[in-house]
Amino acid sequence: MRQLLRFWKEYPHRYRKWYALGLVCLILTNILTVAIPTFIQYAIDGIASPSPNEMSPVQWSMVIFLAGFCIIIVRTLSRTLFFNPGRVVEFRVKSDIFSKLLKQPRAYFDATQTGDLISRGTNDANAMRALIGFGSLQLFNVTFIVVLTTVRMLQLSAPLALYCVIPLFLGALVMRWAVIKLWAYQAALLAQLSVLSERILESYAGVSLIQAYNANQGAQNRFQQENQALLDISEKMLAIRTWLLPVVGIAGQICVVVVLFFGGQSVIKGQLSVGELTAFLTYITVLSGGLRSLGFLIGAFQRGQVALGRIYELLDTPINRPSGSDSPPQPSEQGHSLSVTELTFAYPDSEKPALKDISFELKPGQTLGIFGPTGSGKSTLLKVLSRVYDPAPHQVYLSDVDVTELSVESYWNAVALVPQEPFLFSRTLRQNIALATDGVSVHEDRLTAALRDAALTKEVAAFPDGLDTIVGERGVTVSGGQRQRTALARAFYRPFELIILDDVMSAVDHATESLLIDAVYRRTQGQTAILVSHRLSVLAHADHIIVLDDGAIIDRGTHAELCARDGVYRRAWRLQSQADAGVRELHVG
Amino acid sequence: MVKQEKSDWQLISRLWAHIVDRRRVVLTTLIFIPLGTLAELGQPLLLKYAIDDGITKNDLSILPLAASIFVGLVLTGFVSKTFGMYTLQKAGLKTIAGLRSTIFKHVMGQGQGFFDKRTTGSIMTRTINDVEAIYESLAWGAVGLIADALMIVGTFVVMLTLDWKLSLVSFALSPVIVLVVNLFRKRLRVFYTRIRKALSSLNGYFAEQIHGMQVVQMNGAQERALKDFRSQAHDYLDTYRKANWWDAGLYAIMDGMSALAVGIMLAYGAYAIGLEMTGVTLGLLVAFIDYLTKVFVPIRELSGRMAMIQRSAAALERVFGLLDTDTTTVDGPKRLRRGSGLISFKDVDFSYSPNGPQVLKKIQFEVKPGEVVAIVGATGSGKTTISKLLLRQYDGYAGEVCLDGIELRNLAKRDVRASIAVVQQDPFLFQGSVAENVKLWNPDVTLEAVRTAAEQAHAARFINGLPGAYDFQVSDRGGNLSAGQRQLVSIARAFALNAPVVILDEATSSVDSVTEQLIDGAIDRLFEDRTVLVIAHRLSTIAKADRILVLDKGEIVQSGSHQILAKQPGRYRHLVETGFSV
Repeated sequence: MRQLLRFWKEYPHRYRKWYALGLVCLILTNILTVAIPTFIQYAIDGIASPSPNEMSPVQWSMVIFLAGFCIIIVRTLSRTLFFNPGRVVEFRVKSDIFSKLLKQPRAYFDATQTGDLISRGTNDANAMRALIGFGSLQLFNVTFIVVLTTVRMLQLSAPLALYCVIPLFLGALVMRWAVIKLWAYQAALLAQLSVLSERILESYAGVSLIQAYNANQGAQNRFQQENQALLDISEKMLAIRTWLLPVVGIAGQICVVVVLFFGGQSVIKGQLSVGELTAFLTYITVLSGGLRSLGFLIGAFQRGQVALGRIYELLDTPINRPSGSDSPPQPSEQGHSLSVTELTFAYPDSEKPALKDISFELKPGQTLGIFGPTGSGKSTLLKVLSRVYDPAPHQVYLSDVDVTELSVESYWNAVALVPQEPFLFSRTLRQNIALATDGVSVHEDRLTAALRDAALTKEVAAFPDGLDTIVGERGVTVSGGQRQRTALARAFYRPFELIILDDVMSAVDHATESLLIDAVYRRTQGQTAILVSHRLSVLAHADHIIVLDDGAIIDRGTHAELCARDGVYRRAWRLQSQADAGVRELHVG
Repeated sequence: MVKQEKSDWQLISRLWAHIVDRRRVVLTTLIFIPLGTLAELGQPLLLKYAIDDGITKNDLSILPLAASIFVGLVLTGFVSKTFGMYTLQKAGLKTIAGLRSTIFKHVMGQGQGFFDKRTTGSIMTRTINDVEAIYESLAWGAVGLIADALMIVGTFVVMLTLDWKLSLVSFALSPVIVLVVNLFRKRLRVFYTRIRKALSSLNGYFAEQIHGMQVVQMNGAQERALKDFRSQAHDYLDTYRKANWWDAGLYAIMDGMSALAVGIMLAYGAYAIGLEMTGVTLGLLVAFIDYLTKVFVPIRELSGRMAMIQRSAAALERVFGLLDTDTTTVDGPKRLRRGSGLISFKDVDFSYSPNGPQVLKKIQFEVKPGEVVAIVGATGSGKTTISKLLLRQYDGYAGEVCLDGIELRNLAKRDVRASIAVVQQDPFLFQGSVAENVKLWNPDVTLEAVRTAAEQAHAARFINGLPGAYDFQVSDRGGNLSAGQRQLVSIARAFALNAPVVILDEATSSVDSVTEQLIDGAIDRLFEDRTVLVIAHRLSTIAKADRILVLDKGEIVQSGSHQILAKQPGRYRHLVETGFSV
């Protein structure tokens, strides 16, 4: 309840005038809805026993007709006035959710399922809107209808009204139970549908393998299992929906019998007029309709409350990241120095450190190479250095300033990271590369230079719409190498003072690789750079190379130094030079 | 337009063949739903009888009878109608599950050409979303339409029989309703299409930004992302606000309609009774009021249901379109029990589409049992196509591709595939246990065989180190295993199949040197005693081959051993010098 109150204050409150106006229209609508059976009663009674002093039945009929018209107008108004603010609130809530997520650090996204976040921003926002739009409208609607009809029925005949309350109340109870049950099944249905989708997607993606291994029957069985589970849940829901939901309607019909039986006797005894009996019958239809929507209303309210809770949980999560100075240190002419002292780091969800006691110094403008087997902590080190995850204080210094004392935004202004598996948005190549903006339009010169240095110019020209080709999930498929180079171009496009490249040449051929190496070393003149690679040809030119294993530095030096002594580095160098040896052999022979 | 509608209905009638429990559906439609409708239609009649013959004549005696008949009608109506609806909708659910299964089976049996022309996403949409749309239209559209139409027609018939003049007056406004409702629906349909598009693009944008959040933040693009998001969300909001007016109006008109009809009917009724017209009684008016309040609900739903059924036509068209495309490669009659592994290509020409570029030109070579042949060539030279033809992913080549001297198209596909183990460039792992991933759900492969295969593939050590070992649950696409581990599992898979021929599409992604040595060792072992065709990217593998075929633009331009080829000027030497571009 407190949550609802808070929500009301923060969002719908500012549209209270709309709601008030809507409420007035709603009251009018309901008064008219309840009045019509009374008008019918007068008309019928006028026909049964005409009396010249009152309005004639034909006149009453005209009133009914007019009331019908008025209902059309006020109902249109009440629905629009209630629904439209709901849409605006939905818009504002969604914007707030998105804006909050834009500020959250990586650790937050690690700890939450992406699908869950998406569902909060879409499904929960919808359920929330249903709560304040349709939900609140129906709440007022049903309350008015139930109260007004009950009062009118009690006025007409108290005993008759009481007889009707019992079956209707029982019907409403059964219905409430059924609706709660239905919501639970609905959740299970959605979950199962997503399991089935995953299974189908997986099978389609792996179809050539499945066929090659004659594994179609197995794939079929796996699919059928989930398909059947979905069918089972749907059948249970169907049973509830068809057999239990009409119960209120049935209760209403039973009421008709009750009214006919007891009310008929009252009419004969002269306690009730035929018109009153007819009005009573109509009220029952109206009332059972109201009660029927009450069942759904309870469901919608519960769901809306849950959704609201989930939305607030997201909005209230504090941004767990120290704020810091917005003025980063100025680099010297040669670039930033970077100093790492006894850096130890463990992922938020793990106790085992992924990096142990890492120390190194990088003078302004130098290039650091990092080498190590898969899982040795290379990517983790880069993530800490680029503050995807924050290091502990006093461990990483940029030009002698502790990075944790800088705001992360200002730090990222200075640092460009190209990850190993880069992400492309389903937008144009231009938008993907010119992602970093300083608020104005795209700098065409910078874009052209970035394309050239990332060895993309030729390939982009071959795309159907050049730079305006849409890539990503919903666009043209680009190869792994093109993807890496697009991300590289993205970094080249923006200004940076420190660049960090995570094995960005793993999917390009050797000819392109040497072009890229040249470009990277040229671009980082006067800038500090960190390179990770499995390919030692990439690392060979670095000023300083560290070799990682199991999260710790096991060796360090220049390429020449490392090749001179026995170790992982030299062994890898020998394995990799086999290809070169082949080429050398050719040249000799 | 009319023609279009006709074909819509043709599509819907084609769905009939897929309906499950057709006899039960027909019987239910003919018996239970009409019975339920009759019981509901009888209720106002009974009211009229009770009022005219009992209440207004001060005759109490018929009330108990009328009341008990009424209860009987209510119960009969409820039970038979609910039973009918339940049966029909259940058949609908089963039909949908069956249809989904049919699509899945169809898709999984298709040749590679089918997948070349479509994205996985679009086939997914056919299998899940379109099928859901068809169900909605069946359950809410078709089933509801049957019941509603019976109710409407029944009400008309009863009302006309009772008093045709009063009926005509009651429905005087009907043409107006139809016109107004159609106008509103037309407007709304336009709005709803726009809303659906706006929403799907908004949700897509939201999801993608979350996936790429790191990139957005690190490039300082938050403000622009928020601006984009807000502008898309505002589009959606705006369209909805406009649509709301029409939607609310339509709802209100349908709501006010019964009051309008009752008003007109009562005016005429009062006038008729005043003139003492025969047949018009109080009971009749009450019954008419009851009919009128009830009949407008199904009338209100009618056009919605029709629209819903027609909406399914688009989904049906897509689904049937998919089922009508058949690119399954031919399944030959000849059986082949474990062959020797002799592969031969004779004058093979191939292109992916009839007018497309020729991918293979006069390819001719033979791989003898136990021989290791490496195929090298630049991207697009046709090397992968050769393996695709061997795996029966495409028909339509000229010339002959033979296994043990028998043309593949004459052989049973099962047998061809059982003879060839393939190790893919990007190993594909399925959700499930490691053991399942090695044997690919083949019940004939024992756990013992899985273990042996894993050991041969040098994968046993890392598997035994996993929690649960062979029962370790691999997550989607093998996300919880490293690239190297995935490759080892896929090699174990090939060992488990134990086929005489191996096709290896060498991996290009980088793994660390230690894992690479493990993989090399496993591959060496896989090569023993088997016919091997390797699509090679690394010199170390190529050097191990007995023979090398150099492909260029679909033709074999050179063939021979590394030693010989490396000494000749030509394509091979060029490839070696440029470092075997991927």
